[in-house]
Amino acid sequence: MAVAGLKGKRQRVKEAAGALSMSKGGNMQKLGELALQKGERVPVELLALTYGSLVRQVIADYESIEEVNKQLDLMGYNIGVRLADDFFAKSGVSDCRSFQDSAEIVAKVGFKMYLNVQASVDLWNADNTAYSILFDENPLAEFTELPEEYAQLSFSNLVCGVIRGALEMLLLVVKCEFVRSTLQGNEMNEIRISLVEMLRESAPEDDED
Amino acid sequence: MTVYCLYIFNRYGECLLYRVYKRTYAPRDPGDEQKNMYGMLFAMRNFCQKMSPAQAAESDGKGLTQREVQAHLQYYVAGNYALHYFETPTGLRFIMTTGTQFTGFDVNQCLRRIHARLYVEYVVSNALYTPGEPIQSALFLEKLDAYVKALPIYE
Repeated sequence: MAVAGLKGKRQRVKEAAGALSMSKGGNMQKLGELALQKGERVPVELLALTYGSLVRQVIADYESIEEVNKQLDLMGYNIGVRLADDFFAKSGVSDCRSFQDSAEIVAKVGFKMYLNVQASVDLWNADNTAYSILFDENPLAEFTELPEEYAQLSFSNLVCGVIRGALEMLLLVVKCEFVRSTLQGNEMNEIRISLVEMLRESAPEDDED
Repeated sequence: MTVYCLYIFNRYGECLLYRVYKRTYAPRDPGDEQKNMYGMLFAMRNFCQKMSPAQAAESDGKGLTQREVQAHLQYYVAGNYALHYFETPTGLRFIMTTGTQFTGFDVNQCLRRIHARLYVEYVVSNALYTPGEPIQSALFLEKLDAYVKALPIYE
């Protein structure tokens, strides 16, 4: 399910034979675009309003804003764990071998495909173990203003959870959070993703003896 | 040519699905067989990667953020059957055993389709399914059976 712009026309895009095997740099943009065109769409207003009422409900259910942020992340995580398979089935991306690869894949393909958002990757740290995803428009917060008492609310924290869940399915344990958001008066949104651990698949247990 | 059975494992070695098609006998202990199969494939997979000629070039020296190049097993052929293997980046393994005459027919592609069109649509998108549990969705099994039985290699 992706978000269509107001006048988002459905276009039939020929699936270029090569599209499936592409997986580097500039091609990512194209893959995201293709996957967006192929997927089902919902109007952006529907998504924004539904998400808004979801956040509203979570605020009503939990006492502290900190806890609300945590719950949104957890919901996103559960989505991400499932979304990873959907992503590989539909995006044409065939593999994600490294943390570095994941940056391009999440920002260029994932954001485009599921949110119709043009995002970029920047601010790598020296060890290549952390990066930021930057984007201007956030469809989830389309009609949202944060009242002062909710200044600490990370409104779109669900997205962080989704990224965390999906990357965990690729054995990448990451920490993921909003460090800047347009809702809090910054000029753009920034999600910081840092690698905590790279898991290895462990051998099945030997229970012969 | 024919399809004997289909297995789906997750990366923890849990067998999510064991579906018999034209297999003519039942193993004494299917659980045991599944465990052996997963173990064998796990070893084979690592071995395939170790033998990959592309490995050295892919390593970035730190060994922290880069994985080995994926050189997955695709199938092996034994005297009277073949085993086809497809692994998703999320660690799911789809395995199908067939007869040996499958030349010119891409069984791996079938396994990919089973993942993309059936598993994702009817298992992942099913809110009642808990990841890691054996798949019991009647709808998924129905679609899967229809798909497998319509394959030209089925018969």
